[in-house]
Amino acid sequence: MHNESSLILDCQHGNRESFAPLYDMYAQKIYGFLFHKTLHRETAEDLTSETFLKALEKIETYNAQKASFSTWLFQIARNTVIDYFRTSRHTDDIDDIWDIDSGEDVLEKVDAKIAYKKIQHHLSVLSADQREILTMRFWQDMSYAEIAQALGKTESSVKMAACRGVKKLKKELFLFLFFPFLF
Amino acid sequence: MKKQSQKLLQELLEAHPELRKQETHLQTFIEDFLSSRPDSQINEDFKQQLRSEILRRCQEMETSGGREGWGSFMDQFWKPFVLGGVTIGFAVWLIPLVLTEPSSIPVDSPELTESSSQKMMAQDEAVSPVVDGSLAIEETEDQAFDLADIDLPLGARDMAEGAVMGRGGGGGGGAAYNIMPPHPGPYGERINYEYEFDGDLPQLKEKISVYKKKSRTQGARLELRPEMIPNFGLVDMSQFGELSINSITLAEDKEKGYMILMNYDYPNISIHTNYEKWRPYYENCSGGSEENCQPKPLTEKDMLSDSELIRIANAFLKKYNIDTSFLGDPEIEKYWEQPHYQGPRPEYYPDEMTVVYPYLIDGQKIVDQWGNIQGARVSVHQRMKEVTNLHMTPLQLQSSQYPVSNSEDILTFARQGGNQGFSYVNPDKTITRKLGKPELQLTHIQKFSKGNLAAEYYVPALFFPIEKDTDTDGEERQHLQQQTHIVVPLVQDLMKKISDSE
Repeated sequence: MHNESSLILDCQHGNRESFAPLYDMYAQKIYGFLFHKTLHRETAEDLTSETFLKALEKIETYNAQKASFSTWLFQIARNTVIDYFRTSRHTDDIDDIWDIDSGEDVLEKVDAKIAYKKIQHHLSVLSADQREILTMRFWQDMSYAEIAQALGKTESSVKMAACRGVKKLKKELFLFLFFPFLF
Repeated sequence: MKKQSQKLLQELLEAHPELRKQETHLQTFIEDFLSSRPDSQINEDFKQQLRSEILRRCQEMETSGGREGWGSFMDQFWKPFVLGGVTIGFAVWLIPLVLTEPSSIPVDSPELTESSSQKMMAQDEAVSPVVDGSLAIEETEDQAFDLADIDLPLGARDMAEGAVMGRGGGGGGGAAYNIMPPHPGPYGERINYEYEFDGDLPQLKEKISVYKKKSRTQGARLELRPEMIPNFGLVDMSQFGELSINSITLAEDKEKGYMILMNYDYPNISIHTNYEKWRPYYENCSGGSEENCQPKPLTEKDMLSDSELIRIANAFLKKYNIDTSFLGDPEIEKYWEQPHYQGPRPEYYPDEMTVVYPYLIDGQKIVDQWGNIQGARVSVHQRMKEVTNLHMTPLQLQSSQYPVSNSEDILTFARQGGNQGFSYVNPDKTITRKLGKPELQLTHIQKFSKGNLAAEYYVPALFFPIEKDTDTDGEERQHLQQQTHIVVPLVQDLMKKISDSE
């Protein structure tokens, strides 16, 4: 079993191959995170590649005293996906697909069309933070502790955001069930 | 799913008991949410491809000296070296124990794969019992190891099919390395490159040696007696079995001491300054806090001559009895002089210069696709006039004879861009570039294999220099694809695989 911090130090000392086990540890998590933000397999793979290659190039700048490796890596992934939407849509304010207006022809680039249609109305009412946390917990099955570490937040604040998100969704769901014409 | 929704529900209720009165609705909602979960399982092929690409980049970075200077690393990471002191004692204590039983050295088997077209010989024949020295080559029968599964460098031959890999190295930080991404990425202009070659190919033999690096250094993977491993009295180590050492870090606890890192999975050795023991020498400034201490940038007059750099590097190799029998004459790496490395800064002169001692296999150098020579790398700090880093790998190889491709195939492949070539199905434009007289060198190819170890091959290849492209005013045109050479491996089977992958 590899020790994460020793692998990072090893990498920073010039043994770059030590990055491979770090990749093994995080590949699924980062891919899942990016997939849930894009709902498009090839785009998620593309962004996953970019995230890890950026991390590999920048590993020497990672400072364990400032943040966990997980926080650092997820931050690169988040910036990468924001850059992707910014580049492809020339818009500054989008950091996942749920922010895109449903009137746009977004479904062409969505693999999980059924999932998207089913809950797009609901997820789009949440803040990006709340969406991120709920998809990580519900869809990626990450623990609140893991999510907190990935996002660089405390576990209690992550739980609080999740609850607020659920409450907001509950309200939205109620309206959708009883007043579907509003949507 | 029911179980998972219950678990999630309980979590929420524990955190916010006031939600309990809406428990039924909440559970329905959670189940809905879970049922709409898209399949986000990573594709295993993609995962392995990306892993191979990462390993390839690692290799290139190490070859091309992917460091931004001691400051960027050391400024941020000197503190962990304090903790390092604790581990040093541990490691120093451990080594004598580990080395007590040399007779228990296992002999590694090469990682070979079956192939219907190329039957491999029995593994017992393919591996000599013990190979001494840093460069050891053993001849095996024809086609003793299989090249059929070699991973090709990822390029846009795959991209043209839609399997996009990476987007140009992730952007940023590129100036730190003299490697360039294999293509500009799916965004922006889609440019196809074609290559012209009007000259004659050099005379080639009918068969040529291909070399395979043994996956682990003979004699380096040592067995351990579990009870010998210090464990702070916390763990009964005898309960663990089949233990071996993957890597070791040692440190000299003295003024100007070094740290020595050895990796046995990917055999290599690194020696670098133990920063805590060099701190006064690094801190080449007066006054101010340590964090704000920024030594003045070097100027041209501070640069050491090539002969002085080589003298310092040679003295270091001699002092530590480092085996140079498989290394060629030293060369000074001048990557920092290239325009894309200099960037917008007025002038840049690095604190550290790298002396490269090329690895020689049967007298041939190993060159990567970007023109970088692989070899033992020794960094000399120009302010201190001391060696601060050494990185080298033992070359213990098997060799086999393979038939050389015919001239027509070689030329066709070169015109397509060789090993790194790719093409878009519907490019925005196509640029033709000229190729110069090729040289025969070895190129380094990795194959990702089971057990997360990369099999490494050194394959004879023709390196065609890409001629500078000038406009009518004699100004050099800039191309997105900044590679300096087209690499064409000369082994028919390998080229066929490349061709089949199109």
